[in-house]
Amino acid sequence: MKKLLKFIYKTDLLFSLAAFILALLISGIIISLSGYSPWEAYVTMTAGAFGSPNAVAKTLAKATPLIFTGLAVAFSFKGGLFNIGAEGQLYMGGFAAALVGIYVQGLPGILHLFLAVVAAGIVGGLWSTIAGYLKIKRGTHEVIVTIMLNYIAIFLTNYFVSYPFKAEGMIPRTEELPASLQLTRLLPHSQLTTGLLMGIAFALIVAWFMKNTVYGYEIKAMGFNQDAAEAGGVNLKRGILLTMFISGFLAAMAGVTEVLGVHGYFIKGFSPGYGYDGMAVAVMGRNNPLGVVVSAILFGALRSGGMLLDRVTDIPGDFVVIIQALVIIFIATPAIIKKVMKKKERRQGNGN
Amino acid sequence: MKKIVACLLCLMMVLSLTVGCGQKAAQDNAEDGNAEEATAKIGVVLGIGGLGDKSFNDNGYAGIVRAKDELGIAFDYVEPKDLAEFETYHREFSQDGQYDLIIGLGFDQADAIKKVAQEFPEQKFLLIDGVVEAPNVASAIFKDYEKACLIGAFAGQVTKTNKVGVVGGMDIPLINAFVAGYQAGAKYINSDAEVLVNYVGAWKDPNTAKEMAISMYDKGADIVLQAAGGSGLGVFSAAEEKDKYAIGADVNQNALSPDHIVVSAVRRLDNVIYDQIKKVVDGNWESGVFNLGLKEEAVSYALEDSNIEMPQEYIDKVEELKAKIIAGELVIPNKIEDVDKFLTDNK
Repeated sequence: MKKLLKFIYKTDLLFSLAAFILALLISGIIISLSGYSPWEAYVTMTAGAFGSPNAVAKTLAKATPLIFTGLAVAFSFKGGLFNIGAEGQLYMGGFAAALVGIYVQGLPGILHLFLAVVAAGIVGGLWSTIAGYLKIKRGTHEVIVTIMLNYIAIFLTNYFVSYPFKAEGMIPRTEELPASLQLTRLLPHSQLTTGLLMGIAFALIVAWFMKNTVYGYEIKAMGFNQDAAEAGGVNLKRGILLTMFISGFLAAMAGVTEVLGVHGYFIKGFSPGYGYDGMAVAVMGRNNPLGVVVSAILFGALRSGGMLLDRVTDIPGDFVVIIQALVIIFIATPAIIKKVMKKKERRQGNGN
Repeated sequence: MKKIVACLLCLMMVLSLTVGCGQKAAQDNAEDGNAEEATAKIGVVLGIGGLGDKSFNDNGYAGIVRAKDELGIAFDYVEPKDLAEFETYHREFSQDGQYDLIIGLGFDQADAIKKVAQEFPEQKFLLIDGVVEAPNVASAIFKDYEKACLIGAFAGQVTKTNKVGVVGGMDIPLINAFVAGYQAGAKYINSDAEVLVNYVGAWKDPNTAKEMAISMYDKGADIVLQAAGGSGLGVFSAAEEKDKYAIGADVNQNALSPDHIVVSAVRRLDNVIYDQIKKVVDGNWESGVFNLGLKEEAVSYALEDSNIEMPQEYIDKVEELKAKIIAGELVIPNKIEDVDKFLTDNK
């Protein structure tokens, strides 16, 4: 039985890989139908993603926030919830980190950093918990609430950073954070910071949490079957709140690594949709924390490859979005096929 | 499973065909590149809005294309979607190391350029419409009050009531310089002219701008300049409603209401960018802050696309004024309080 599970698990990841390759092939056809050379596109993208130490750094830098948003979405999926609000949570978290960084003073560097990170996590977590709270109190579906909360968070932080907390100058951003708070760059001149290590650490923690703690077990049980879990003694309300909180906490970390790492300040619109891409990352990573890290890096590679594509060729870098979408479609459809196949088997089994 | 494999195989075969063709195309491109060695390589970070905005970005892009055609440069450009991407793109271009000049369009790129220019002291940058003081950055800003002066001179001649108006976006130095130039031009050319001034207080409030323009028309003004960004569109609808004249700004807005807009004050980003690229090609590029006006052809006026014909004698008079400004005989005030002194000095 165990072996079987392992096998399915493995094939699942293989499926993801197959879907990725299939998506590349189909996108190649779309690119050539649009009158560009897919060969040139992929060669350029590969160079942009892995062609040099700088390129690799860029890929990893782009992967960093995706690891967190991927983890956030995957975590909620595990608990049978859909957190579509990672985008809003990372803005709230990033803003909280910036505020703590700028306005809390007199703390030693490492403690200050810790405080900023924790504050961001709590703010992001609570923001996400609003959806959980409404779900258990009013039965509102968390998909709707988290989506709407995204807009509230984005426009709220836009307002804050355009008016009350705006730094001098013409750009809607906060003051620069003190140097002691900014994440160390792993490669000079790159945007790759220790945020990546943080991401990997968080992935390991989440994996451990799911496997070795009672809460993790309960959340998983909730994900398999809520009613059964409740019948089995899981406190459903607590489970939902906890899942949403942790998911929001993780998403907020994406804001932290961008604000403290890449930019050094909170700037309006710093996320080009990392929260939404997190869903794709989670799906491709099969909701497995380590799978999320791998798929985040692949998506990071797509992004940095797409940037070079934009810059040096006529081919629009937006093709990357097509590839991402195809990946999701191909992962989603075999799942359907599988389900159908399973049902057939069952029916046949009954017939005999 | 078999079906999937079959599908995959099919796809691969189809793709291998297209890949075959693609490879050829790529080689062709490479050969093209080798055939004519570029005189310089330019990286361009466009402003938000990107190409097709019929304004800032398109105008700047035209200068780069002209440089490509006339000077034989090569260029790559990117269209950032958000403020936060500026730094990434400037960093990308800088890291590449093969660009002789990186151009950033728009004041909102100042922070990004400042930061990246510090890290790459060998890399040359050009910032359009903003200032970064660094040894490897050239900043181009515009003497908008000079073009405003020419526009004022048009208004002063076109008006039959000797009353002209201007609706400003906000009561800030930038807009006041524009208003000052306008007043100076109108009164210089027509000493009887009276200039009505009002400020919307916002850049995206065409309704208020329209109300202000209507009240100016009601007070007897027959031509009103908009200097209010997005709010300025309200001035045009007021002109349509009252069947009076209006003046466009920033870019050639004449086509927006060709029966009412007689002239537009324009910036010529294309000329500025072309000149800077030329300097790079010629090897005499230098950093610094460049305040560019009529003399450098960085600002101008546009009569095209308007259905109202401007009498040649008016144009001649404006050109005469322009020549005087370029020659340095007239120094246009950029503060409203200096306008009177300018007028008494230059009677």
